[in-house]
Amino acid sequence: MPPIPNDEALDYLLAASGLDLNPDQKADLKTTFEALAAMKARVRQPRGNMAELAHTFGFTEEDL
Amino acid sequence: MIPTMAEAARLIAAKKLSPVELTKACLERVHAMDGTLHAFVLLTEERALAEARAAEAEIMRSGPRGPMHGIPIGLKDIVDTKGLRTASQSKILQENVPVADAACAVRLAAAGSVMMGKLTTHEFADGGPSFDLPAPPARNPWNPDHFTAGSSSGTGAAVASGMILCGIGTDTGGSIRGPAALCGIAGIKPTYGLVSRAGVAPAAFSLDHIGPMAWTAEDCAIMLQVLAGHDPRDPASADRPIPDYTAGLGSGLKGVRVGVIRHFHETDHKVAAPTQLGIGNTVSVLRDLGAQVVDVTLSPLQDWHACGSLISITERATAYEEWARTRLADFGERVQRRLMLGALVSGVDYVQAVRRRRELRAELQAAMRGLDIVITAGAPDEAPKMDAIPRWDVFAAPGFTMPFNVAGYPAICVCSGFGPGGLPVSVQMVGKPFQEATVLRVADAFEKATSFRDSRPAMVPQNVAAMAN
Repeated sequence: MPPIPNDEALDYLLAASGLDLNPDQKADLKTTFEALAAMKARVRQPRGNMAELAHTFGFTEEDL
Repeated sequence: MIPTMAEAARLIAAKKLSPVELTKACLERVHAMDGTLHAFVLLTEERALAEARAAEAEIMRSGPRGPMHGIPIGLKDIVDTKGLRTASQSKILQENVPVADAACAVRLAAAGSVMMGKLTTHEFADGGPSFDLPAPPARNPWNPDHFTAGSSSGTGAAVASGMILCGIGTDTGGSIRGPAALCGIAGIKPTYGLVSRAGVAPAAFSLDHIGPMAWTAEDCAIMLQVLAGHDPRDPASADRPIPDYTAGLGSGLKGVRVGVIRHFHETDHKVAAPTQLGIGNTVSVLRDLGAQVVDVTLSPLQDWHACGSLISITERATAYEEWARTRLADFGERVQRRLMLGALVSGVDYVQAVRRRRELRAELQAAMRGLDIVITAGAPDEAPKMDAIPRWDVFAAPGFTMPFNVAGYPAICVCSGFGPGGLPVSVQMVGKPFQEATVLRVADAFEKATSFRDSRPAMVPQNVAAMAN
């Protein structure tokens, strides 16, 4: 399970995002930590080499 | 009866139905019901009547341009309309008057449709129902105490109640198919890139789709014919030939191969008995019509939901980053919460979700080899009450629609019956990329073999509805 942020880490993440939340909003957000971590756990798994973003950009004559 | 768009088009072409009278009948229904349903945020009555008169004059002079000529429609209020306020149900955009129409609005106008107004949406096509926005949320015509689903809530309510014959919805995780399911209509999310998103407010770039919502699958086919096509103003627009979406309707289902993703609705998120019954009946009807039916297994619904939700949270936080930093309090509470979540999803989380998406798409592609469509639920049950939607609905039980936003595959929800509360239940049919014609053909055959299109919500005034007979 991905780590759940403590109060200090939450403040850092919010500051880094530029979000200014009041104490009630922070408390509300904390109620999602476990559900969000469970969601992340479903995608944060080892994957094969075909599982990459692999942009092809759709090059056309205009790129030449 | 209120005519379907196909019926109205035939009558208009035969000069047996006046677009002006049809528009007046729709307007009468708006005046009778919208005080309760709140499907419209902006009713453009004078414009509608003027467009109907112009359509009628042109049709009398030289015949209809096509089956949407003279047909009353509505546009979800995240669709730009030149000179008409497009507020996305947000305090932030109350003064926003676009200088140009969105691509889908241009196409519908060119087809000669009659624009009735702007339809209620959840704020920026997210969250809902919300009671802290500039306008109230739309309500379900089958029972106004109940939810329409969203975010194309006004389109769902307006089509089901016959205020319009069809309308534009948008779908990032189910916002066309959810309201279609709960309001008992048809709504198709086309293949990603088939319909231009130019001029429509984004929700999550790689999951956003524009599509038709109407009373029947046949009407969706007619509307999709108008909407589909390449547009260089949409960076994701697909440049490929557009087939005739109505050509195959009525040609039967002999040999059509159907997969049932049974574990989605029987195990991963067990649906209520009426929905289960509706899916079972759908399978029986399709078999009776000649289809071959097999079971299909995919990754658990929860994996699709997690993948789509993490991408959606991050892309939405990206699209609205500046306002989230500077005007967070001006969003409604539900959207504020979604934007707050963006701070908790890291770059690694997002890229891992995109990597998982690639795997899930490959899995669906492999599972559909040898099949034409797959089916599952559209929604778990009849519509819940308006006050029964969780505060953090993204963490509620996984929805049945998100997998096909993750994959980008076309998917339609149609009515598959009614529950004990008198509200509709639905089934979802999913096709391969750009195979909308097949999806619509199967959905149309199902609708025409059943009687679920025969009755409208009880609140629809029958005296007004009889106008087009």
